[in-house]
Amino acid sequence: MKLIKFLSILSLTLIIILNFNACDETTSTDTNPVIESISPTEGLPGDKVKIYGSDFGEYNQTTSKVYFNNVLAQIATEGKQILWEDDEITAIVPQGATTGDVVVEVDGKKSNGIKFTIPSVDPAKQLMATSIDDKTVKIKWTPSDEESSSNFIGYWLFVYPTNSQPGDYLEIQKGSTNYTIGGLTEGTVYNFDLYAVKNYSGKTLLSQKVTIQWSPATRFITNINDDAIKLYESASTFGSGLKLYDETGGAPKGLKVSSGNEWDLGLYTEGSVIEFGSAKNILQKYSSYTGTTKKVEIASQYIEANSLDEVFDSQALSAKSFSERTFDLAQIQTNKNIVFIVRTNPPSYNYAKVMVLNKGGFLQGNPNNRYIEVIVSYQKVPGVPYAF
Amino acid sequence: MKKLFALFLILTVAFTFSLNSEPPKPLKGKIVSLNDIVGGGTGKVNKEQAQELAEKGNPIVFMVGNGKSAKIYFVYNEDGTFAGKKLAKYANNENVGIIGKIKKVNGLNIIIAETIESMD
Repeated sequence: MKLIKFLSILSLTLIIILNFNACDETTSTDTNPVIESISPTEGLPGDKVKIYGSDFGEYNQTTSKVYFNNVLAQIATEGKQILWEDDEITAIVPQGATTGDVVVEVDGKKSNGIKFTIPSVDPAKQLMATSIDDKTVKIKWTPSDEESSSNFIGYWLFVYPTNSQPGDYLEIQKGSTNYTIGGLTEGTVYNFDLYAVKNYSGKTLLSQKVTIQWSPATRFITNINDDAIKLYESASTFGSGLKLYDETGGAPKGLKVSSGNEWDLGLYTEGSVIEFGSAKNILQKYSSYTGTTKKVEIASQYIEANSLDEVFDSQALSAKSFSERTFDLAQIQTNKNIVFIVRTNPPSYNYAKVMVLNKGGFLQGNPNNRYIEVIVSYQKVPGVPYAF
Repeated sequence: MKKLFALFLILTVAFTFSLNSEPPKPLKGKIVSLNDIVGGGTGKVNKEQAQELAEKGNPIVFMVGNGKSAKIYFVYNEDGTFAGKKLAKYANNENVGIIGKIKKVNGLNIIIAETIESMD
């Protein structure tokens, strides 16, 4: 009888111990949360996603977290109730998240990951800009690879001064590769942010932005006398020099050697040489001139172009390699015009692009009064390295 | 045969001469208002004034030299039209050069201008 009583007590003790152990297993904090599935598996920022699994525990504002490809998500609510249960969570796809794993973290312990796809749009590429005049900038780009998709809508362009925030956008049709923006102010640097746009389940989906900074600049096709801008050959009695912008006349001004101190650019011809370039270098070739010279620098690379409107840049002109230099136009074998990038008035610099016209040759006119004709795009505001 | 040879010689000499000829020298002067000069002034006008005068049909002319030795030229385009409006554009220039044919008609100095250019 005593043995039966002893065995009963022993069994009861064992049962209690076993039960305690079983309870310990179900409430253990050593176990990582597990995600079994998510629904849906694809969506956009702002969409709700249900996460099914186990060991999510009770919601704790500081230790219960959900990530979409390492971007922390907000947990959805219903009224005042946070939608977080031990086996089901409803999270909101965060802004800025990209395709990747959804992971639940509880008390620093991370779950397995399950892939969530956030659709994206291939952006436009190689965005470039050029100044058409003192109020207008033209941009161009290589189209998004997704243009052929039926869901592809077009492009959104935000234009705003660099010291302010983007406002309204301009809608640009699918198939476009350039856009001209008017009503701008010379000397103000603008951001041009371009997004490719497509329709995704009735929602508008934007690509990553491509952006460029640019400013309008004044274009001159005539000088202060409302005539073509000319630099005459050395044998001529007319001027071989050019002041890019004459404040009084409000335009470029042709100048003779005797006014060399005002030159920005000059022309020297001898034999077959047609040397065009920085005032200092050219004036050194005129023995009659002994005065001072301005420091005017030209970028090492020139551009061949049929028209000014063809010459775009993807970065500020200040990024070019500048020095005082000349070019022998006679050595340039092309039937196109030549565009030089110039800067004057250091240290802040006014930037310009100067296009030498090629009309079956660079030298035009009658012998001994031949000339080169140029078109000038000039940024009147110093320190703004955008022109043309 | 001799005549043909003579013609060939003349043509060759003329061609050689034309190749070696000096560049045409421009006549150097300034743009003035004839009305102002007649009224006893210096004739000096700026570009805007000159253009306004020219628009109203007042003569804008070319003056070479200064003072009593100054000579006034009426400038015409090669198509026979009066070049006052074109001259007016150069009124701000200190020195202006004109290449063209100079002639005197009924006592008036006339230039048929091929080129008008700044000489500052």
